[in-house]
Amino acid sequence: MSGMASDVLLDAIGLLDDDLVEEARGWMDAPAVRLRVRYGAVWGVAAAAAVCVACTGTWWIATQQRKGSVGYPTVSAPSSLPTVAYERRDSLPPIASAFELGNMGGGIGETFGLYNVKNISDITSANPTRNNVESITELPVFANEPGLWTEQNHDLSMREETVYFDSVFRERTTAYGYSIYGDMTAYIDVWFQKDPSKPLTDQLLDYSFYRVMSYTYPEEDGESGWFQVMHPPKATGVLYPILSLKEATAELRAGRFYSYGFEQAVAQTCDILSVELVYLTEEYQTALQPYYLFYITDESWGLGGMEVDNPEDFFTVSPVYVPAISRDYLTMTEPIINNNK
Amino acid sequence: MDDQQILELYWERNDAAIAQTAQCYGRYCRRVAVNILGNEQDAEECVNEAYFHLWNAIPPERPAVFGAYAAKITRNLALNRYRERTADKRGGGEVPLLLSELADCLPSRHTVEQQLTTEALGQRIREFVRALPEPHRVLFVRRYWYGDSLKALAGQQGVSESRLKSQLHRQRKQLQAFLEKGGFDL
Repeated sequence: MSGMASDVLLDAIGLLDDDLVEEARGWMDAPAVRLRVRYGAVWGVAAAAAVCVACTGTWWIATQQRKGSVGYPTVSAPSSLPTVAYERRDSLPPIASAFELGNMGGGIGETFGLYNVKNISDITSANPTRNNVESITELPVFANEPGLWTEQNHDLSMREETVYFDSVFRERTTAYGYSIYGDMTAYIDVWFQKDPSKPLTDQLLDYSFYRVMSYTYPEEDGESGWFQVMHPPKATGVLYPILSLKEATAELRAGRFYSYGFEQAVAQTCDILSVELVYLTEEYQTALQPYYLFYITDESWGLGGMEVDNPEDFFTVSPVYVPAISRDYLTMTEPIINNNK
Repeated sequence: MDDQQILELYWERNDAAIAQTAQCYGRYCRRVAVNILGNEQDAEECVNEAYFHLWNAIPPERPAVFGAYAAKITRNLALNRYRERTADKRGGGEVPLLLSELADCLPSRHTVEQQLTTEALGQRIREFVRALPEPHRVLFVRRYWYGDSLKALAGQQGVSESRLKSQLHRQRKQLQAFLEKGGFDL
């Protein structure tokens, strides 16, 4: 395209209404936000969590050892992954849940909110607890620590070579569902340790904490995106009793969950499409703790202005998070919706 | 002093209007100009020129959002100044990057300058921007109206530049589709 044509667009954008210009001005002088280590994806979110237990095996985030350090300057991964431990204690201190959504409206991993999908399989993960939560009655909680995620921006081509587990499984999911024009706009890859012979709790912790995630956007001349490497927490976790699925569902129906913001209105009428246990691992979490992640849909949602020839092929879903720790030990705090205002 | 009081000064032809504009919106307009021109001295001259244009435009104009109106004049003047500069091959600021990114949005198989008026394109872009969720709308305006650098936006949003690039890439693709759907794909 000619530079002149772009120039016309730049002039046309200059015709935006004053109220739009004024709205954005409010963000101009807002204080800068510290760069957070974010884990990205929806499922990621879900998954993104944390802790790892007895992850056997030699689990490398390869880089230096496997590839040498050439062209890979910023990964500070350990040469071998720490074994994450947890224990049962007689006295359990109270903990609090926390939830924040990021400035760009997507929240954790930019994947909160309503999504247009063709099938629930577009967004559900390979989480070993997906629709398989009822045998778990307790899970460890870990003190959070900074730097669990290392964000790598510089060389997407190296993402797969960054992964070196004993037993690797890769899941791929559509990151943002479909655009309003029916295009699949991005996808997320997650590489994680998978050992089906382990107890389910340990599989969940492997899935949550021993992982590399990448976010990829197809472009005309290739692809762009970034990837993130997780460093398992070092603190010893403590086992807490968790809500049963029935109790968690009751919490959902009562509207006591975290979400992007539209979902409470349909808490009693929505259809539950899937459920899994996940950890949230963003830096703002004081305690890395499990959540029930429900994917829900509701007839009232429509398709959010989707402009496609085959709307019958799509429906809208949203993830909602019910803190899993027993309410005997947990206080739910108010979510922080950060729109930079 | 609020916007209405400043406007009254303009209508009274009181030259304190300029001083008040500079006090209330000088920094704001200067940033708009710096983003485009990449040069403090040129930006300062551009803002002074904007004051002159405001003085000539009000009255008869009585803008509803005075700050945005002043910024818009500044932006237009800065772009004109930028174009004069590039004619002399002395470009700077964010504009080359903005032009490169916006080339993504152009519908395929057509030549914008032949088939569209800036006004028609502006109307369609306005519709597109209004339909975006607020954070995405603000991001678009901050990048392509204000010309904020990716680095500045990333710092303010607390996200990485690469993530921001990806978000903007998706927005441009959506805009391209929206323009084509609006009949601009001929």
